[in-house]
Amino acid sequence: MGKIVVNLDVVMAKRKISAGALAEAVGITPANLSILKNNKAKAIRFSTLEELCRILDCQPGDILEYRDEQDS
Amino acid sequence: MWNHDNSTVLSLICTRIVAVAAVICAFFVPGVVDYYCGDYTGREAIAPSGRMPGTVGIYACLLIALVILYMLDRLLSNIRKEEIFIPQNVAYLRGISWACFAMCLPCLLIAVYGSQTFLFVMVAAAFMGLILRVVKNVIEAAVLIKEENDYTV
Repeated sequence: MGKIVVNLDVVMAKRKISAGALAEAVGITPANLSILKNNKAKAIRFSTLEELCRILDCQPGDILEYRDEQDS
Repeated sequence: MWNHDNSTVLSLICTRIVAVAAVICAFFVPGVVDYYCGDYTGREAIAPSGRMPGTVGIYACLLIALVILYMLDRLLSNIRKEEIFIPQNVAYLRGISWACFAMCLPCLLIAVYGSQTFLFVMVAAAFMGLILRVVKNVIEAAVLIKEENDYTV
């Protein structure tokens, strides 16, 4: 069984944006952004994903990745 | 104005009063058993031969009741702290449910050796255990939904 991995920290590093600035721009709390960054999130709203893609100028596939258990 | 918190506090107070009453009752168990043995008239009382099983059974019931009351107290305290859908509460409800089922054993002991009235108490305890098991399942599902909701960004 595989899992969805959030590569938000990679995209953030590429765009050189801090967690606080991103959280404020997207309109979510720093605690929720931390949950997302640390792969603890159970679900993500389309509205949040849309805002993340807009602010980071990327595609959902850049942030989310499906990884097989064997690969990890 | 009557509100949710007042209701919880009332339940908590009632639980503690019943716990104190249960402890006080423990001192009178031998007297109650003696009374029933003395007034033995048939199925409704405890037969003289059932004095010891009756005493042991009632003490076991009291002990289980105190365990249930302790778990109810903790459960209500968590509800007062607004910690409702947490795994700890599921564990308390599971414990209370099993304690109700456990209550059937001493009741059966008293029913066999003493008063058959305790068969009714045994069935009531088992039914209560079953209801609480369903409530536990509902709260368990609610804990999962809450966790998913909390971790939705």
